[in-house]
Parts: sequence; C-alpha cells; structure tokens
Amino acid sequence: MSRYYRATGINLKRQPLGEADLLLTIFTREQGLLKAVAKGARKARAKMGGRLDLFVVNDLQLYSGRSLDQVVQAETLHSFNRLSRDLGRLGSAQYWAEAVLAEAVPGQGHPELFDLFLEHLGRLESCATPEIMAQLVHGLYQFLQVSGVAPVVDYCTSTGRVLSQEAAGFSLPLGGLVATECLSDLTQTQPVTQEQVNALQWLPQPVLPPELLVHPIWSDVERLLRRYLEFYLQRSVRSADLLAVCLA
Amino acid sequence: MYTRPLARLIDQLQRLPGIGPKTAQRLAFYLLKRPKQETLQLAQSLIDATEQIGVCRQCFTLSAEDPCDICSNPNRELSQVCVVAEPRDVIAMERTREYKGRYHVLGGLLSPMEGIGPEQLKVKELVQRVNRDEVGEVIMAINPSVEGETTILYVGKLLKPFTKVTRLASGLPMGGDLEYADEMTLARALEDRRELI
Ligand SMILES: [Zn+2]
Repeated sequence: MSRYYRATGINLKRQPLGEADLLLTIFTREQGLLKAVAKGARKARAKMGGRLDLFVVNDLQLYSGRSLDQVVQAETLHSFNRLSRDLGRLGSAQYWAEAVLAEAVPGQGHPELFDLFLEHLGRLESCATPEIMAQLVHGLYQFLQVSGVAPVVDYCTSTGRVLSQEAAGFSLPLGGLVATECLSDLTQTQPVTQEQVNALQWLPQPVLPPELLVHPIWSDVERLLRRYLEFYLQRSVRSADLLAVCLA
Repeated sequence: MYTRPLARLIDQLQRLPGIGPKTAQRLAFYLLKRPKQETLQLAQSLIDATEQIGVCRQCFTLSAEDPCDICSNPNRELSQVCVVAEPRDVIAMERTREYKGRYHVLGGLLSPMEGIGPEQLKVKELVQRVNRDEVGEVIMAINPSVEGETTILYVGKLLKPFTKVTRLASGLPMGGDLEYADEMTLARALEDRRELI
C-alpha cells in the first residue's frame, strides 16, 4: 500500500514546530480533521509558505509518516484572501473555525460540513460590511445543523407544540425554544422576544431574506447561540471574546 | 540505561525545539567528550543569559540593560516606532541597517482561536507610548498571515486616531517568519511601506 495519499483540505490551525516547520490542523473533505507537518514552511523561500495560511484550500499530497503525516505538496484551489479586508470578517472566520474544529472528527470525512463551510466563507468574504453579523450567525447555525446539533427553533422542545410568531423561551438543557407556558418550570432558560424567535426561525433556511441582512437583532441571536454552543461544548468560544472589538 | 546525571541531561536537551531523543543523546555524549572547560563555559553562558537578560520596559525586547541599547540611544528617532511580534524580529529589522527609529515588541500575534487577545500582548503599553512620546508614525512590521492581519488591523484601528500607521509593503514571504526574510527584501518592504486605510 502506498504511503502517499491525497486530500482536499482547508487549513484551520497552524503552530510553529521546531526550527522552521509548521504543524497544521487541516479540515479535509475526505477524512475530516488531520494533523500534518510542513517541513521548512516558515522559511522565506519555502515553496509552500502562503499556501499554508489559515483558510487556504489546497489539493494536498500527503505522506503518512510513523508519528505525524507530512504535507509533501500543496496546490491552492482557493484562498479567501479578501477576508483580510477588515477585522469583522477575519474575526468571524476564526469564530467559525473554532466551531468547525469542534464538530469535525479526525479520520472521518464530513463533506457536507466541508462544502457548507467553504460556501459560507465565500459569502463572508463578499458580503457588505453591515451584513457581517447576520452572515456570521447564519453560518454558525448552518454548521451546527449539518452536524445534527443545531438548537430546535420551530417547536417547543418541552411539549412539541409548533411555535409561530410569538415570544418564547430558550432552554440550554433542552437544546432549543420552549413555549412561554413552559418557561416557569424550567431552569437555565431565558425569555426570547417575538422578534428573536422570528430571526431564529430563519436560520435553518439556506439563505436569509434580504430585509434581515442588516439588522441589530443578530447581535442578540449571536449571544444566544454562543451560550448554546458553550453549554453544548462545555467550554468557552474563545474567538467570540474578540468579536465585539472586531465588529465595532 | 543511562547513569542518572546523563539521563537528566538528555531529558533537558530533548525539551528544546526541534530536538528528538536521538539528537538529544548525540548532543549529550558530544558535550561530555569535549574538554571539560568548554562545556562548563556553555553551562555558564546559559546561567548568565538566564539571569542577566530581562525585558526592556520601554520596548519589551530582550535586553540585559533596561532601557535597552536602542531605547537609550539618543540618535534613534523617538517619533517613529516599529511594531513587531517577537524580539527576534527586532534583530531582523536591525540587519537591514535602514531603520533609524525605535521598536515595540508585542510579544506575539492576536489569535482569537488560541485565546490570545489584546490583554495578553503589549498593546495597551503601545497606545500609552504613542501618546506619551508624541509618536508621528507607527510601522507595523508583521507578516501577512491571518493572525498577522488580525493584529495589524486591530492595532491600526486603536492607533489611527492618534498617529499615522503604516505597514510594510507586500513582497514579504507570505506565511514565513519575518526573521527568515533576507535583508534586501526587508529593506525594500520598509522603504515602500504604505499607510493603513
Ligand atoms: Zn528598548
């Protein structure tokens, strides 16, 4: 069996290793998360230098070594370099990367999540600046949805009653919305306004309606989703702390 | 397998970056085979460096003196501050012999995913310094990676109300370390720096 293999992957993490190497965490379409070393990548004349930056998608040739796999060749398919236009985009992309890193599994391909992640990075790169928050929240929900862990937004998680245009509650342990009549019996539940319910109910859709793209509601929804994500992951979302600064 | 002090030496060497068990063993045997005096000198320089080198409280570079040679040099422009990520980047910039201003070492790059925010870096100190010294230009000498861009944009945003902020021209190795850039490339990137918009 050949010890060389190929994969299409997006770089999500890079750590310096030794004198001039890089240890990369790559989310690949075919085999989920993998860690691989790129020899000499930090040197100025390194052939692969820029291809190993975060959010660059490469067609990779890898060699499975005894301890760590090695990136032998990287051919860039796409680099989302317009994310660097402003802090909001850079911050949002890193926030997503943290969520995707938590959802992706080593050795197990998740092509739907991979494709969706790239699709949303493209939207984030090209959207108008005031739309960044809406895109951030939408992408985040979509990644959770395709991984089967999104919070329930269309019915009461306690009674199963369908929720329409109405105020409700959001329960962390039940993982989604609850009807107002159930609010009093539940712990770790916070009330949500009718407007917030409406915004949440748009999130499972593949695109958001144009009239909602620039709207202050998304900051509230982001905080709600973040609390959900943190409850579910049992740790804090580090990138989110910088978000306020990035989007200010 | 090894006599105890030798095992300890190998273990210590092995903790250094880029050194695996094999290399550590080879180095340890080499050190013991050399004239005793030479190896003791190496040990003494390790002790001296560890004990004498601290950080300059003005620019946060590594230095045995506080303030460092650059900060205490009256011929270095007070109104120009070059912001770098690490002390070794100061060396890289100095090698160009083109830069006559001062430095500010952030101590890393903003990396939200790693939980490295502005509080972990010398950002607040930079803002204070820019105001106190009436700095006329801040040059961001940071590599254009995602973390590098995040840092440039963030620090730029904070400083723009007070001073002119520029960044090195492109042409620097993408994703490579600043320290690996050759002097010519770095000097040109400095010369062609552009204002942050
Ligand atoms: Zn100094």
